[in-house]
Amino acid sequence: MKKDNTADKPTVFVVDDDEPVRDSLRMLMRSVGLNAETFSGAAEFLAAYDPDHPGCLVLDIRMPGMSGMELQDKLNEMHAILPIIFITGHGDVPMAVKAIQYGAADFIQKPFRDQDLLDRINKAIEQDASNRAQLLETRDIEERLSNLTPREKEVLELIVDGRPNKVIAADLEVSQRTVEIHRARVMDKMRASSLAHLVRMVMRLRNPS
Amino acid sequence: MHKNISSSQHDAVVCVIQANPIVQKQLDVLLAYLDSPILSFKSSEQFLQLCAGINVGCILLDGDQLGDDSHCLLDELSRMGLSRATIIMAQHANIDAAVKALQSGIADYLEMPQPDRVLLAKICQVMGDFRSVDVGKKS
Repeated sequence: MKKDNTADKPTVFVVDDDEPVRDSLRMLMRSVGLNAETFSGAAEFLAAYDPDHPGCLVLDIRMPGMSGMELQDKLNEMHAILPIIFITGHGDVPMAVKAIQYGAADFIQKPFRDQDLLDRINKAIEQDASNRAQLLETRDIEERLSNLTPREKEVLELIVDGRPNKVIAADLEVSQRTVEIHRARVMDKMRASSLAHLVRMVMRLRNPS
Repeated sequence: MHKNISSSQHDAVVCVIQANPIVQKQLDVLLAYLDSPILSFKSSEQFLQLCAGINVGCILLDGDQLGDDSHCLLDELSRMGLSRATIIMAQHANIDAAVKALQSGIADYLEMPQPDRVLLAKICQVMGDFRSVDVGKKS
């Protein structure tokens, strides 16, 4: 494995068994200031894989041992979100369709223009940053939600379903004043600036995409 | 627009967008095996003009009639929430077109010809996966 030394900067991980291809891609990334790490095979990449490291994966399809498509399956099993750009000199339509249907960000045939690959890499890195930001936000909401008591969670669900305090009080067989107190605590613990904000947070968890 | 099979208005419809009358005829015969109403359109423009209110279950789109502006149609299908119901069938398939179409969110891209059973299975799968959308409500 060859790596450029930077910590959290997005990295282009290149997995290709062809050394000249790895070297030329590494030089290409460097020429535009992108951080690159190269691997000669899927197993070597998996051994070094860090799910918290942002970037994208440029992956050859045909490799001895684990193929690029098999590595994609493995990463899917691991719920990896790193965008994959497949590169191949022997691709066909069914192969490209399968790769994208299984979640690859892109699929490009060799030989390709450098700029064409760089455009796709930049797009994939942007997508990765956006996915990670969304994931962080979701985790943050989940953490706030975990601080609610079971009763406050019940009240939250009813608020989000659009029920007024009076109806919630009747549903839970408590006084309206008690509901108001629970509601205030929910807003506080969820750090919601408004009812709309609260609803947006809960909907984010219900519909993560 | 030619309505091949009439059925309950609540049934999800298979919409065929196909300019080639020979392929259209072959599809008519094949799709008769499906227990679904079928509507045929000669072009994507005709489909977009007439699709409001159709309970779409699946769209079979002729990939060979898509030109350089295919992204406009794909964007429109996406805007209407119909991408996941769309299968592109192309005699002259190519990787770049397939990748672009799938990136727009369509369900499948098939290099034709395909065995009848494969095509029918794909259509059934898409119809099962796609929750029928009233296009009129979405647009």
